Amino acid sequence: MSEAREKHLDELREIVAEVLEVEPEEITETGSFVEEHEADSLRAIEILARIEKKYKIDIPQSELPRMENLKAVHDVVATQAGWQD
Amino acid sequence: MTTLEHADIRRILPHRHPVLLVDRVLDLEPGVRIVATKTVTGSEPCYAGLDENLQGSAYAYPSSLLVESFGQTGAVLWLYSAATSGERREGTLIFGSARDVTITGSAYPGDVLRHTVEIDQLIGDNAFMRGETWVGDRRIATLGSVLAVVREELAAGTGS
Amino acid sequence: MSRRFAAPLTAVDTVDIADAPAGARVEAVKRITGDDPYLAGHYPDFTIYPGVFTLESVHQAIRHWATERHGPGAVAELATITSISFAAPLLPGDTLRIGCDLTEHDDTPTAVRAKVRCHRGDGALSARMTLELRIDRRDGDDHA
Repeated sequence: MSEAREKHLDELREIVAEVLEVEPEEITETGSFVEEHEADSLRAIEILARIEKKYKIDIPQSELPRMENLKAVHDVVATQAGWQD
Repeated sequence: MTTLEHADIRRILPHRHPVLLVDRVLDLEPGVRIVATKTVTGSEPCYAGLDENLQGSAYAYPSSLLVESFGQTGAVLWLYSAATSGERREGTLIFGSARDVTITGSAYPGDVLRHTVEIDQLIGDNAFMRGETWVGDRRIATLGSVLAVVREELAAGTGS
Repeated sequence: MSRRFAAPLTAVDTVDIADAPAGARVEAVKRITGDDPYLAGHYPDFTIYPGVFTLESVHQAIRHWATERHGPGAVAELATITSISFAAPLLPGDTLRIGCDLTEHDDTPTAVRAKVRCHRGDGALSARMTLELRIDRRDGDDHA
C-alpha cells in the first residue's frame, strides 16, 4: 500500500469519524457507515461537504450512495481529485 | 444593499404567526450573507402562563426559539438567493442538523436579536450556514454550522 | 398550567429519572398535538413538530432532573449544542420518546453533558443530540 494512500485514508477517516462522532480507529476500511455507525442521509451530506472543502473538489451527489464505507469514499475522492494512490 | 420588510419575508418563508421569527432584513447579499432582526416582546406566547414573582432571569428568551429565529434568517438568505439565480426549491424546508452552537448570553422582552448568517457551502438541496446572534453590542450566540435542507415527500416516512 | 421559565410550550408530558453510574438516565414522553402553541404557524397547510421543539422537549426533561438533583432553585441552562440532527419527522398523533444519558463532570459539578436519542412511537429514530448544560442557581437571584 502506498504512503499517499495511507495518508489520504487517515485524513478521510478523521473527517468521517468527526461527523459520525466516533473515534477514528472505529472506522475500518470496509465497515458500513450505516450499519455500524447509524449514518443517515444528513451525515452523508456532511461527509461529502467536508471532503469537498478540504480537497477543494466537487463530488457529484450521484456518488453519495456509493460512499458507504471508508474504502468506497477513498475510491470516489481519488477519482475526483485525480489521486494516483 | 438589499433590505426586506416583513411582507417580503412572508413571501419567502413558509412559517406563519406566531412562529415566523424574523421581523426585518437589514442587509442581504445574495449567496453570501444576511443581517436580520427579530424583536422579543413580552406578549409572545412563550411568556404566557409564567408564575408570578419570578426573578429577571426567568424571562430569558428560550434558546430553542433563538436557534429557530437564526435558522429562519439563514433560510431567508438561502431561498432569496436561490430565487434570484432562477432556481426553485420544491418541497418542505427542514432544520437538518447543527454543530458547535454556543450560547453565551440571553435576550429579554424589549431586546432586538440581530442575526448575521453566512452561507458556508451549498450542495444541491442542502445549505450549510454559520453565524452569530447579537443583542446590541453583546454577542449571545455563535453557531458554527447549521444545515438546512429541502426535502420532498416528507409524509412518506411518517407513522406513529 | 404555570411555569418558572419562558418556553414555547409544555414540551414533556412525563419525565422519569433514574440514577446511573456517571450521572443519570432521563426518559421523557411528549405526545404531539396540533393544538400546542406555535404549531398553527408551522405550517398552516400541515403541521409538523419543529426540530427546535424536540430540543425544547429535551431541555425541559433535563430541567426536571436539575430541580430533582439540585433543588427547586436550580435551573439547567443550555450552554452548547455540540451536535444535533433530525431524522424522522413528528406529526400530530405521533409520540416523541426521549432517552437522555447525563454525565456530571467531576471537576465542575455545575456542568452536565447530555447524550440524547429521540424516537417516534413507531420506533423510528427522530433526533439525536449532544448537549452541554450549566446548572445555575436562582434562589439567590435579585428580584430585579
